[in-house]
Amino acid sequence: MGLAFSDLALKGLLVFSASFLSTFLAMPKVVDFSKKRGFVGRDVHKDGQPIVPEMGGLGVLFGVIVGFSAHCLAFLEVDVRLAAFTGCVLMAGAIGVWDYLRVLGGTAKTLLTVIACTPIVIGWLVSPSEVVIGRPELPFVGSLRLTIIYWALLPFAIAVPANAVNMIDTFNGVMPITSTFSVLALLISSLILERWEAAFMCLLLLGALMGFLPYNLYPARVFASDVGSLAVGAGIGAIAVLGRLEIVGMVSLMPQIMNAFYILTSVKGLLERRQMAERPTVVLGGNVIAANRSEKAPMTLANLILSKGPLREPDLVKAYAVLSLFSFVLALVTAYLMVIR
Amino acid sequence: MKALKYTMDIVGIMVLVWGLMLLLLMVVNNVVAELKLPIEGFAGSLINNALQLMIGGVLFLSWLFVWYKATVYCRKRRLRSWDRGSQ
Repeated sequence: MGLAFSDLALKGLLVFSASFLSTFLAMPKVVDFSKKRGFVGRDVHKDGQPIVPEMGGLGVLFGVIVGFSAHCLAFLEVDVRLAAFTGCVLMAGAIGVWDYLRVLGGTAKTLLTVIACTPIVIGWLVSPSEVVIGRPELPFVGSLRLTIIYWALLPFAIAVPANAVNMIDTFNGVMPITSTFSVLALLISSLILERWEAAFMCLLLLGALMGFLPYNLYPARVFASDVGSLAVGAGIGAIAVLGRLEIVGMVSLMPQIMNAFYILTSVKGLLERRQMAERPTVVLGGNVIAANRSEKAPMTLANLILSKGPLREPDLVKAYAVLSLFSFVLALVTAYLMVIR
Repeated sequence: MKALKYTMDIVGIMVLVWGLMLLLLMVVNNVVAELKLPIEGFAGSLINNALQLMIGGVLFLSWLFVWYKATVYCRKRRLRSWDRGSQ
Protein backbone atom coordinates (compact mmCIF):
# COMPACT_ATOMS: atom_id res chain seq x y z
CA MET A 1 0.00 0.00 0.00
CA GLY A 2 3.04 2.23 0.37
CA LEU A 3 1.77 4.32 3.29
CA ALA A 4 3.34 4.78 6.73
CA PHE A 5 1.84 2.62 9.49
CA SER A 6 0.75 5.71 11.45
CA ASP A 7 -1.14 6.97 8.40
CA LEU A 8 -2.83 3.60 7.95
CA ALA A 9 -3.70 3.47 11.66
CA LEU A 10 -5.30 6.92 11.47
CA LYS A 11 -7.38 5.95 8.45
CA GLY A 12 -8.28 2.66 10.13
CA LEU A 13 -9.51 4.57 13.15
CA LEU A 14 -11.59 6.80 10.86
CA VAL A 15 -13.21 3.78 9.15
CA PHE A 16 -13.91 2.09 12.51
CA SER A 17 -15.37 5.27 14.03
CA ALA A 18 -17.55 5.93 10.97
CA SER A 19 -19.11 2.45 10.97
CA PHE A 20 -19.42 2.32 14.78
CA LEU A 21 -21.06 5.75 15.17
CA SER A 22 -23.38 5.36 12.18
CA THR A 23 -24.66 1.98 13.42
CA PHE A 24 -24.93 3.13 17.04
CA LEU A 25 -26.81 6.30 16.11
CA ALA A 26 -29.00 4.62 13.49
CA MET A 27 -30.24 1.84 15.80
CA PRO A 28 -33.00 3.88 17.57
CA LYS A 29 -34.38 4.79 14.12
CA VAL A 30 -34.20 1.13 13.05
CA VAL A 31 -36.07 0.12 16.22
CA ASP A 32 -38.82 2.70 15.52
CA PHE A 33 -39.02 1.64 11.86
CA SER A 34 -39.36 -2.06 12.81
CA LYS A 35 -42.07 -1.28 15.38
CA LYS A 36 -44.05 0.89 12.93
CA ARG A 37 -43.87 -1.71 10.13
CA GLY A 38 -44.73 -4.58 12.48
CA PHE A 39 -41.34 -6.26 12.04
CA VAL A 40 -41.43 -7.69 15.55
CA GLY A 41 -41.01 -11.10 17.15
CA ARG A 42 -41.36 -12.77 20.53
CA ASP A 43 -38.36 -13.32 22.80
CA VAL A 44 -39.27 -16.93 23.61
CA HIS A 45 -36.57 -17.36 26.26
CA LYS A 46 -38.09 -14.84 28.67
CA ASP A 47 -41.03 -14.94 31.03
CA GLY A 48 -44.10 -13.49 29.31
CA GLN A 49 -42.35 -13.70 25.94
CA PRO A 50 -42.02 -9.92 25.37
CA ILE A 51 -42.32 -8.51 21.86
CA VAL A 52 -39.01 -7.23 20.47
CA PRO A 53 -38.42 -5.30 17.21
CA GLU A 54 -36.50 -7.25 14.57
CA MET A 55 -34.56 -6.13 11.47
CA GLY A 56 -31.79 -4.66 13.67
CA GLY A 57 -29.39 -5.93 11.02
CA LEU A 58 -30.37 -2.94 8.87
CA GLY A 59 -28.31 -0.80 11.25
CA VAL A 60 -25.30 -3.07 10.68
CA LEU A 61 -25.71 -2.74 6.90
CA PHE A 62 -25.94 1.05 7.24
CA GLY A 63 -22.74 1.10 9.31
CA VAL A 64 -20.88 -0.98 6.71
CA ILE A 65 -21.99 1.37 3.90
CA VAL A 66 -20.91 4.48 5.86
CA GLY A 67 -17.59 2.84 6.83
CA PHE A 68 -16.91 1.93 3.19
CA SER A 69 -17.71 5.50 2.12
CA ALA A 70 -15.31 6.81 4.80
CA HIS A 71 -12.57 4.51 3.44
CA CYS A 72 -13.17 5.82 -0.11
CA LEU A 73 -12.96 9.42 1.15
CA ALA A 74 -9.85 8.78 3.25
CA PHE A 75 -7.91 7.18 0.36
CA LEU A 76 -9.61 9.17 -2.44
CA GLU A 77 -10.10 5.93 -4.38
CA VAL A 78 -12.42 2.91 -4.44
CA ASP A 79 -10.54 -0.21 -3.35
CA VAL A 80 -11.78 -3.24 -5.31
CA ARG A 81 -11.34 -5.64 -2.36
CA LEU A 82 -13.25 -3.41 0.02
CA ALA A 83 -15.97 -2.88 -2.59
CA ALA A 84 -16.25 -6.68 -3.06
CA PHE A 85 -16.47 -7.14 0.71
CA THR A 86 -19.19 -4.49 1.03
CA GLY A 87 -21.03 -6.07 -1.91
CA CYS A 88 -21.00 -9.50 -0.22
CA VAL A 89 -22.33 -8.04 3.04
CA LEU A 90 -25.13 -6.11 1.29
CA MET A 91 -26.09 -9.06 -0.89
CA ALA A 92 -26.34 -11.42 2.09
CA GLY A 93 -28.31 -8.71 3.95
CA ALA A 94 -30.72 -8.43 1.02
CA ILE A 95 -31.21 -12.22 1.09
CA GLY A 96 -31.93 -11.88 4.81
CA VAL A 97 -34.59 -9.21 4.13
CA TRP A 98 -36.15 -11.44 1.49
CA ASP A 99 -36.14 -14.42 3.87
CA TYR A 100 -37.74 -12.30 6.58
CA LEU A 101 -40.52 -11.02 4.33
CA ARG A 102 -41.18 -14.19 2.29
CA VAL A 103 -40.12 -16.93 4.82
CA LEU A 104 -37.83 -19.13 2.73
CA GLY A 105 -37.12 -22.75 3.63
CA GLY A 106 -33.74 -23.81 5.09
CA THR A 107 -32.46 -25.27 1.81
CA ALA A 108 -33.66 -22.31 -0.31
CA LYS A 109 -32.01 -19.82 2.04
CA THR A 110 -28.71 -21.74 2.06
CA LEU A 111 -28.71 -22.00 -1.74
CA LEU A 112 -29.46 -18.29 -2.05
CA THR A 113 -26.53 -17.34 0.18
CA VAL A 114 -24.28 -19.15 -2.30
CA ILE A 115 -24.78 -16.30 -4.79
CA ALA A 116 -23.51 -13.78 -2.20
CA CYS A 117 -19.98 -14.58 -3.44
CA THR A 118 -20.77 -12.84 -6.77
CA PRO A 119 -19.13 -9.49 -5.77
CA ILE A 120 -15.84 -11.36 -5.14
CA VAL A 121 -16.00 -12.93 -8.62
CA ILE A 122 -16.75 -9.49 -10.13
CA GLY A 123 -13.85 -8.01 -8.14
CA TRP A 124 -11.55 -10.72 -9.53
CA LEU A 125 -12.74 -9.99 -13.08
CA VAL A 126 -12.15 -6.25 -12.60
CA SER A 127 -8.76 -6.51 -10.89
CA PRO A 128 -7.22 -10.02 -10.72
CA SER A 129 -3.98 -8.57 -9.34
CA GLU A 130 -5.77 -7.25 -6.24
CA VAL A 131 -8.48 -9.88 -5.71
CA VAL A 132 -6.33 -13.02 -5.52
CA ILE A 133 -8.38 -16.22 -5.77
CA GLY A 134 -7.04 -19.72 -5.24
CA ARG A 135 -3.94 -18.95 -3.17
CA PRO A 136 -4.89 -19.86 0.41
CA GLU A 137 -2.14 -19.89 3.02
CA LEU A 138 -1.97 -22.75 5.51
CA PRO A 139 0.06 -23.23 8.69
CA PHE A 140 3.16 -25.47 8.18
CA VAL A 141 2.32 -25.80 4.47
CA GLY A 142 2.50 -22.21 3.21
CA SER A 143 0.78 -20.78 0.17
CA LEU A 144 -1.08 -23.22 -2.05
CA ARG A 145 -2.02 -22.80 -5.70
CA LEU A 146 -5.51 -24.22 -6.08
CA THR A 147 -7.23 -23.50 -9.36
CA ILE A 148 -10.29 -25.67 -9.98
CA ILE A 149 -10.93 -26.82 -6.38
CA TYR A 150 -10.85 -23.27 -4.96
CA TRP A 151 -13.38 -22.00 -7.50
CA ALA A 152 -15.62 -24.96 -6.70
CA LEU A 153 -15.41 -24.19 -2.96
CA LEU A 154 -15.69 -20.38 -3.26
CA PRO A 155 -19.52 -20.21 -3.00
CA PHE A 156 -19.34 -22.23 0.24
CA ALA A 157 -16.68 -19.89 1.65
CA ILE A 158 -19.44 -17.28 1.93
CA ALA A 159 -22.52 -19.48 2.37
CA VAL A 160 -21.07 -21.60 5.22
CA PRO A 161 -20.07 -18.72 7.55
CA ALA A 162 -23.26 -16.78 6.67
CA ASN A 163 -25.49 -19.69 7.66
CA ALA A 164 -23.32 -20.71 10.62
CA VAL A 165 -23.59 -17.20 12.11
CA ASN A 166 -27.32 -17.21 11.33
CA MET A 167 -27.78 -20.53 13.17
CA ILE A 168 -26.03 -19.32 16.34
CA ASP A 169 -28.19 -16.17 16.63
CA THR A 170 -30.64 -17.64 19.15
CA PHE A 171 -30.01 -15.80 22.43
CA ASN A 172 -29.62 -12.12 23.34
CA GLY A 173 -26.18 -10.86 22.36
CA VAL A 174 -24.75 -14.19 21.18
CA MET A 175 -24.39 -13.24 17.50
CA PRO A 176 -22.57 -9.89 17.99
CA ILE A 177 -20.38 -11.24 20.84
CA THR A 178 -19.21 -14.40 19.04
CA SER A 179 -18.80 -12.52 15.74
CA THR A 180 -16.81 -9.74 17.43
CA PHE A 181 -14.28 -12.31 18.69
CA SER A 182 -14.07 -13.81 15.19
CA VAL A 183 -13.51 -10.43 13.53
CA LEU A 184 -10.97 -9.43 16.21
CA ALA A 185 -9.01 -12.63 15.53
CA LEU A 186 -9.06 -11.87 11.79
CA LEU A 187 -8.00 -8.26 12.48
CA ILE A 188 -4.98 -9.20 14.60
CA SER A 189 -4.05 -11.99 12.16
CA SER A 190 -4.20 -9.60 9.22
CA LEU A 191 -1.91 -7.21 11.12
CA ILE A 192 0.51 -10.07 11.93
CA LEU A 193 0.52 -11.16 8.28
CA GLU A 194 0.52 -7.55 6.99
CA ARG A 195 -2.71 -7.88 5.00
CA TRP A 196 -3.71 -4.22 5.33
CA GLU A 197 -6.88 -4.32 3.22
CA ALA A 198 -8.19 -7.26 5.25
CA ALA A 199 -7.52 -5.18 8.39
CA PHE A 200 -9.68 -2.36 6.97
CA MET A 201 -12.49 -4.81 6.22
CA CYS A 202 -12.25 -6.13 9.80
CA LEU A 203 -12.38 -2.58 11.23
CA LEU A 204 -15.41 -1.80 9.10
CA LEU A 205 -17.32 -4.87 10.29
CA LEU A 206 -16.07 -4.55 13.87
CA GLY A 207 -17.35 -0.98 14.11
CA ALA A 208 -20.81 -1.98 12.89
CA LEU A 209 -20.92 -4.98 15.26
CA MET A 210 -19.88 -2.93 18.28
CA GLY A 211 -22.42 -0.24 17.41
CA PHE A 212 -25.12 -2.92 17.32
CA LEU A 213 -24.00 -4.87 20.42
CA PRO A 214 -25.42 -2.56 23.18
CA TYR A 215 -28.91 -2.85 21.64
CA ASN A 216 -28.80 -6.66 21.40
CA LEU A 217 -27.32 -7.43 24.84
CA TYR A 218 -29.57 -9.02 27.49
CA PRO A 219 -32.37 -7.91 27.72
CA ALA A 220 -32.36 -7.25 23.96
CA ARG A 221 -34.00 -4.08 22.66
CA VAL A 222 -33.75 -5.32 19.07
CA PHE A 223 -32.94 -8.56 17.23
CA ALA A 224 -30.53 -8.70 14.28
CA SER A 225 -32.78 -11.20 12.45
CA ASP A 226 -31.52 -12.91 9.29
CA VAL A 227 -30.65 -9.49 7.80
CA GLY A 228 -27.90 -8.96 10.36
CA SER A 229 -26.69 -12.50 10.96
CA LEU A 230 -26.40 -13.48 7.28
CA ALA A 231 -24.68 -10.17 6.47
CA VAL A 232 -22.15 -10.49 9.33
CA GLY A 233 -21.41 -14.15 8.48
CA ALA A 234 -20.96 -13.33 4.78
CA GLY A 235 -18.69 -10.44 5.80
CA ILE A 236 -16.47 -12.75 7.85
CA GLY A 237 -16.32 -15.21 4.93
CA ALA A 238 -15.45 -12.40 2.51
CA ILE A 239 -12.62 -11.16 4.78
CA ALA A 240 -11.22 -14.71 4.95
CA VAL A 241 -11.27 -15.11 1.14
CA LEU A 242 -10.13 -11.60 0.16
CA GLY A 243 -7.46 -11.47 2.89
CA ARG A 244 -6.27 -15.03 2.17
CA LEU A 245 -7.03 -15.90 5.78
CA GLU A 246 -9.25 -18.92 5.10
CA ILE A 247 -7.91 -21.20 7.85
CA VAL A 248 -7.73 -18.40 10.45
CA GLY A 249 -11.32 -17.47 9.57
CA MET A 250 -12.43 -21.07 9.95
CA VAL A 251 -10.76 -21.46 13.35
CA SER A 252 -12.11 -18.10 14.58
CA LEU A 253 -15.63 -19.27 13.68
CA MET A 254 -15.30 -22.57 15.57
CA PRO A 255 -18.27 -22.08 17.97
CA GLN A 256 -20.53 -21.13 15.03
CA ILE A 257 -19.27 -24.01 12.87
CA MET A 258 -19.58 -26.47 15.79
CA ASN A 259 -23.17 -25.35 16.32
CA ALA A 260 -24.02 -25.73 12.62
CA PHE A 261 -22.28 -29.14 12.46
CA TYR A 262 -24.25 -30.42 15.47
CA ILE A 263 -27.56 -29.22 14.00
CA LEU A 264 -26.83 -30.76 10.58
CA THR A 265 -25.80 -34.12 12.06
CA SER A 266 -28.73 -34.31 14.48
CA VAL A 267 -31.61 -33.10 12.26
CA LYS A 268 -29.97 -34.58 9.13
CA GLY A 269 -30.79 -31.71 6.80
CA LEU A 270 -31.20 -27.97 6.43
CA LEU A 271 -34.26 -27.11 8.49
CA GLU A 272 -35.49 -23.73 9.73
CA ARG A 273 -36.18 -23.28 13.46
CA ARG A 274 -39.92 -23.27 12.81
CA GLN A 275 -39.64 -26.57 10.86
CA MET A 276 -38.09 -28.48 13.80
CA ALA A 277 -40.46 -30.75 15.72
CA GLU A 278 -38.75 -30.04 19.06
CA ARG A 279 -36.67 -27.14 20.37
CA PRO A 280 -33.09 -27.85 21.53
CA THR A 281 -33.76 -26.00 24.81
CA VAL A 282 -36.68 -25.56 27.21
CA VAL A 283 -37.52 -22.49 29.32
CA LEU A 284 -38.06 -23.36 32.99
CA GLY A 285 -39.35 -19.98 34.14
CA GLY A 286 -37.49 -17.18 35.89
CA ASN A 287 -35.48 -16.80 32.64
CA VAL A 288 -33.75 -20.13 33.34
CA ILE A 289 -33.05 -22.30 30.29
CA ALA A 290 -32.35 -26.04 30.25
CA ALA A 291 -31.31 -28.56 27.59
CA ASN A 292 -34.15 -30.48 25.98
CA ARG A 293 -33.33 -34.11 26.83
CA SER A 294 -35.70 -35.60 24.27
CA GLU A 295 -34.12 -37.93 21.71
CA LYS A 296 -35.89 -35.94 18.97
CA ALA A 297 -34.45 -32.58 20.09
CA PRO A 298 -31.72 -31.25 17.79
CA MET A 299 -28.24 -31.12 19.29
CA THR A 300 -27.00 -27.53 19.25
CA LEU A 301 -24.16 -25.76 21.03
CA ALA A 302 -26.71 -24.39 23.53
CA ASN A 303 -28.04 -27.90 24.13
CA LEU A 304 -24.47 -29.12 24.69
CA ILE A 305 -23.59 -26.28 27.10
CA LEU A 306 -26.83 -26.79 29.03
CA SER A 307 -26.37 -30.58 29.21
CA LYS A 308 -24.39 -29.90 32.41
CA GLY A 309 -27.43 -28.21 33.98
CA PRO A 310 -29.83 -25.27 33.54
CA LEU A 311 -28.51 -21.69 33.31
CA ARG A 312 -29.95 -18.19 33.25
CA GLU A 313 -29.80 -16.62 29.78
CA PRO A 314 -26.99 -14.10 30.65
CA ASP A 315 -24.85 -16.97 32.04
CA LEU A 316 -25.48 -19.01 28.90
CA VAL A 317 -24.35 -16.06 26.79
CA LYS A 318 -21.19 -15.80 28.96
CA ALA A 319 -20.51 -19.48 28.18
CA TYR A 320 -20.71 -18.68 24.46
CA ALA A 321 -18.29 -15.78 25.05
CA VAL A 322 -15.81 -18.12 26.78
CA LEU A 323 -15.93 -20.52 23.82
CA SER A 324 -15.42 -17.61 21.41
CA LEU A 325 -12.46 -16.39 23.47
CA PHE A 326 -10.78 -19.80 23.15
CA SER A 327 -11.44 -19.94 19.39
CA PHE A 328 -9.97 -16.41 19.19
CA VAL A 329 -6.77 -17.67 20.88
CA LEU A 330 -6.62 -20.75 18.62
CA ALA A 331 -7.06 -18.53 15.54
CA LEU A 332 -4.16 -16.32 16.64
CA VAL A 333 -1.97 -19.40 17.23
CA THR A 334 -2.91 -20.56 13.71
CA ALA A 335 -1.87 -17.16 12.29
CA TYR A 336 1.40 -17.34 14.24
CA LEU A 337 2.07 -20.84 12.82
CA MET A 338 1.64 -19.32 9.34
CA VAL A 339 4.34 -16.75 10.13
CA ILE A 340 6.96 -19.04 11.72
CA ARG A 341 6.77 -21.67 8.97
CA MET B 1 -16.71 -18.81 37.29
CA LYS B 2 -19.87 -20.62 36.18
CA ALA B 3 -19.43 -20.02 32.44
CA LEU B 4 -15.90 -21.47 32.54
CA LYS B 5 -17.09 -24.55 34.47
CA TYR B 6 -19.81 -25.14 31.90
CA THR B 7 -17.48 -24.89 28.89
CA MET B 8 -14.17 -26.53 29.84
CA ASP B 9 -14.85 -29.93 28.23
CA ILE B 10 -16.31 -28.24 25.13
CA VAL B 11 -13.07 -26.24 24.90
CA GLY B 12 -11.31 -29.64 25.07
CA ILE B 13 -13.29 -30.80 22.02
CA MET B 14 -12.42 -27.52 20.29
CA VAL B 15 -8.68 -27.95 20.89
CA LEU B 16 -8.87 -31.62 19.80
CA VAL B 17 -10.67 -30.72 16.57
CA TRP B 18 -8.20 -27.88 15.88
CA GLY B 19 -5.15 -30.06 16.54
CA LEU B 20 -6.48 -32.87 14.36
CA MET B 21 -7.24 -30.37 11.60
CA LEU B 22 -3.61 -29.15 11.59
CA LEU B 23 -2.40 -32.76 11.64
CA LEU B 24 -4.72 -33.59 8.74
CA LEU B 25 -3.37 -30.64 6.72
CA MET B 26 0.20 -31.81 7.33
CA VAL B 27 -0.57 -35.43 6.38
CA VAL B 28 -2.41 -34.37 3.22
CA ASN B 29 0.42 -32.04 2.20
CA ASN B 30 3.39 -34.26 3.09
CA VAL B 31 2.03 -37.75 2.43
CA VAL B 32 -1.12 -37.77 0.29
CA ALA B 33 -0.03 -35.05 -2.14
CA GLU B 34 3.34 -36.81 -2.61
CA LEU B 35 1.78 -40.17 -3.56
CA LYS B 36 2.86 -41.32 -7.01
CA LEU B 37 1.54 -44.52 -8.60
CA PRO B 38 3.94 -46.28 -10.99
CA ILE B 39 1.53 -45.88 -13.93
CA GLU B 40 2.54 -43.66 -16.83
CA GLY B 41 0.38 -41.51 -19.11
CA PHE B 42 -2.93 -39.71 -18.82
CA ALA B 43 -4.74 -42.70 -17.26
CA GLY B 44 -1.99 -42.99 -14.65
CA SER B 45 -2.27 -39.35 -13.66
CA LEU B 46 -6.08 -39.62 -13.55
CA ILE B 47 -5.96 -42.68 -11.27
CA ASN B 48 -3.29 -41.01 -9.13
CA ASN B 49 -5.40 -37.85 -8.65
CA ALA B 50 -8.54 -39.91 -7.93
CA LEU B 51 -6.64 -41.93 -5.32
CA GLN B 52 -5.30 -38.76 -3.67
CA LEU B 53 -8.80 -37.28 -3.61
CA MET B 54 -10.23 -40.49 -2.14
CA ILE B 55 -7.62 -40.75 0.62
CA GLY B 56 -8.05 -37.03 1.41
CA GLY B 57 -11.83 -37.50 1.54
CA VAL B 58 -11.58 -40.53 3.84
CA LEU B 59 -9.24 -38.60 6.17
CA PHE B 60 -11.62 -35.63 6.20
CA LEU B 61 -14.62 -37.86 6.99
CA SER B 62 -12.62 -39.59 9.76
CA TRP B 63 -11.90 -36.16 11.24
CA LEU B 64 -15.63 -35.32 11.23
CA PHE B 65 -16.42 -38.73 12.75
CA VAL B 66 -13.96 -38.25 15.63
CA TRP B 67 -15.43 -34.76 16.24
CA TYR B 68 -18.99 -36.12 16.27
CA LYS B 69 -18.17 -39.07 18.56
CA ALA B 70 -16.24 -36.84 21.00
CA THR B 71 -19.27 -34.53 21.21
CA VAL B 72 -21.79 -37.33 21.75
CA TYR B 73 -19.56 -38.85 24.48
CA CYS B 74 -19.09 -35.44 26.13
CA ARG B 75 -22.85 -34.73 26.09
CA LYS B 76 -23.69 -38.10 27.68
CA ARG B 77 -21.12 -37.53 30.43
CA ARG B 78 -22.45 -34.03 31.11
CA LEU B 79 -26.06 -35.25 31.27
CA ARG B 80 -24.99 -37.91 33.80
CA SER B 81 -23.26 -35.27 35.94
CA TRP B 82 -26.44 -33.11 35.75
CA ASP B 83 -28.48 -36.12 36.97
CA ARG B 84 -26.04 -36.72 39.83
CA GLY B 85 -26.20 -33.03 40.76
CA SER B 86 -30.00 -32.97 40.87
CA GLN B 87 -30.30 -36.14 43.00
